[in-house]
Amino acid sequence: MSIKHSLLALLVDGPRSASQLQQRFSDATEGVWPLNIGQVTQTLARLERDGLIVVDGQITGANGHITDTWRLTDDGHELLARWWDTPVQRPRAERNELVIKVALAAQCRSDRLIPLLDDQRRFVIAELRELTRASRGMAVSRTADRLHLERRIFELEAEARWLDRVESLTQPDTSDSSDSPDASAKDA
Amino acid sequence: MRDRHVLHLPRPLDLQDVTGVFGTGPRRVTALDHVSVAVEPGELIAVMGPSGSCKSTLLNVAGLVLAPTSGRVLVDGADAADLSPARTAHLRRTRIGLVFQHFNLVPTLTVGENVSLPLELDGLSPADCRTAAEVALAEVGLEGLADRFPEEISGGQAQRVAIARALIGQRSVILADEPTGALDTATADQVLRILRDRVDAGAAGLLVTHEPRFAGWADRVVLMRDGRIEES
Repeated sequence: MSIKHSLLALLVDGPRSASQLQQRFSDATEGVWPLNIGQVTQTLARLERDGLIVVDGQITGANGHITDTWRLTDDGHELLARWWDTPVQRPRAERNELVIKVALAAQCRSDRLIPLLDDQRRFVIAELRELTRASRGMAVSRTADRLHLERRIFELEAEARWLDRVESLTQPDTSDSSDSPDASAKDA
Repeated sequence: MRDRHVLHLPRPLDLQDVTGVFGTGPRRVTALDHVSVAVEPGELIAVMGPSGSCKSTLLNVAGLVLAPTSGRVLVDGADAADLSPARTAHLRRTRIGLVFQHFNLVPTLTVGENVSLPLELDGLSPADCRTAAEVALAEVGLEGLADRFPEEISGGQAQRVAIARALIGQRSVILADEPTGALDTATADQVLRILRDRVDAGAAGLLVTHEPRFAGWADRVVLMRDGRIEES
């Protein structure tokens, strides 16, 4: 999650203090991703350093303390516009433990492969059941908690489909040519 | 889930050690291999498994469409093997509701007539059929559509009509074979919600699906592979 871009987005319709930004973020995301005030103030300091926001004025908070309010600079507006326009990329070279586990089972423990896939399926479906139960009480609208839950459901669904696909693929050739006498002779 | 045993009532659906060998010669296939599944009232079981694992065959045997080679299929305690073909057909028509992927509505009948067809076959008067169809349609959120024809409604509505037809009368078992296969995710969710509500109201449900998302609506998931079943 990009706290930096989120705070810029929350400043677009007017100046706000750190605690107001924390509250707006919490309202917008319904507490799905808690953000503490320290994270907000540290990020604001970095945004100011980078010329993306400036102090707009001061307000007196509910606790009587005087605090700065912040507004976007032109550079801040520009960076925010680029963020909205840029698709979010996922890292491609992710070292996925499940992929590694399945690959190792296919190579070294083919007897374990199908039980491994079944165990993983059960695990995925158990979580899907839990999420489906939770979703029944939620409104069918784009609230942060619903978006978060739907995202997880689709991730689990993708994993279950991937497990099916793995099962339909053929077993790799596990004969290791480097172990054969012929290969040793060639090396020699 | 109600405690059926305390009331000494039979399970709505109980498949005991069922084996199904179909075809002859080189086409002889053991589609079901000593399969046992018991579904309680208020319970929805999802059946998943790779293509060719004979999930639909299981549903057809449970729905008394196919007779097993050995083992027992009990519907509300009645063993289909002990019944005449006519009594088996009556049991299927009155106790079991079937929902398919492609709805299987009769295009020349209105929505209301499609829904009340099982009751009409049992000799209910046209007026009673009409009333029962309207009640069933209202339950799936399709009030006022009784006089339309299947081609005049959407795919999601057609599947809800199929569910209304499957549940009309005193059906205690609902069997659904990929009921969401032809639907988009949002419509499929609505269909699953209706199925779930009906099961929660006391029916026993068996749902064949290859969609992990929809298996999430079930109380239990069983995996099938090569005609054998394993708990999840």
